Amino acid sequence: MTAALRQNAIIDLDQFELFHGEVLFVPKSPITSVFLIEKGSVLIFSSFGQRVLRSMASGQLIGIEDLLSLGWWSGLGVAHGPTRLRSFCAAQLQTCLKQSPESHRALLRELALS
Amino acid sequence: MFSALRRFVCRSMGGHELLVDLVNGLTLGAFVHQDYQSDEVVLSREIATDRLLMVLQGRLYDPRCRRIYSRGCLLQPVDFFAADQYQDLIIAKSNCRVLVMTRDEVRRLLSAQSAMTWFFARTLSIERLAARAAGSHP
Repeated sequence: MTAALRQNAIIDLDQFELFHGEVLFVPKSPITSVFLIEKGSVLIFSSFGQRVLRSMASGQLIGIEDLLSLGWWSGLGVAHGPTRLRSFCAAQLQTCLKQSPESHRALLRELALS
Repeated sequence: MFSALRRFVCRSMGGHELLVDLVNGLTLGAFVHQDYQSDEVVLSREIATDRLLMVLQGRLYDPRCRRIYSRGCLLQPVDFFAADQYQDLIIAKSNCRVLVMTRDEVRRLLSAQSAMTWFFARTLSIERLAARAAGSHP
């Protein structure tokens, strides 16, 4: 995934590590970066933190859904164990999607509805 | 219940005919077409996802999901982009014709038109499969 982002000039901003229990993002905060998990995992809790919505593991990209639909984080992201992440510029990803042909967006629609 | 992303794409994107635009302008003779008779199996379970099928004519049926596929529909695209094998059986409901594109052809086609679509399609499909596995698939 990193290669795909880099090949398409989506700037990777930073690589950083979180301790177990450290908060990566909080609900309603604007998404300026999406994150690729390089090591460890991230739990995403519902906005009030009552339940785990998703467990994201190494190799997964966090934030695409929220970025495209809301522009802000819908849940609370917390590192589960020592976690290493790489961040990518959200604005560039959005621009890239908006510039894609209509048929490509139809394909993505088809996938989202499947 | 639709996820936020699904609501977003429903609002902002078009229908199946647009998918046909993916291959419009290309020499379709370069791709394999296959014709099926009514009730013939078009896609079996556990076939490798090394090809993507698009309906060009006719109607097909997925008995498990009770879904009808018509012109412009891709057959099980989430599995194609995110899994090793197709999960469901698809049967021709009428005489039909499908376009068969290999994985490499799909990737080349998408990448030639827009650099990030393959990546987005893979990411979205992986999300959909994960959601299904977690039991949140509607």
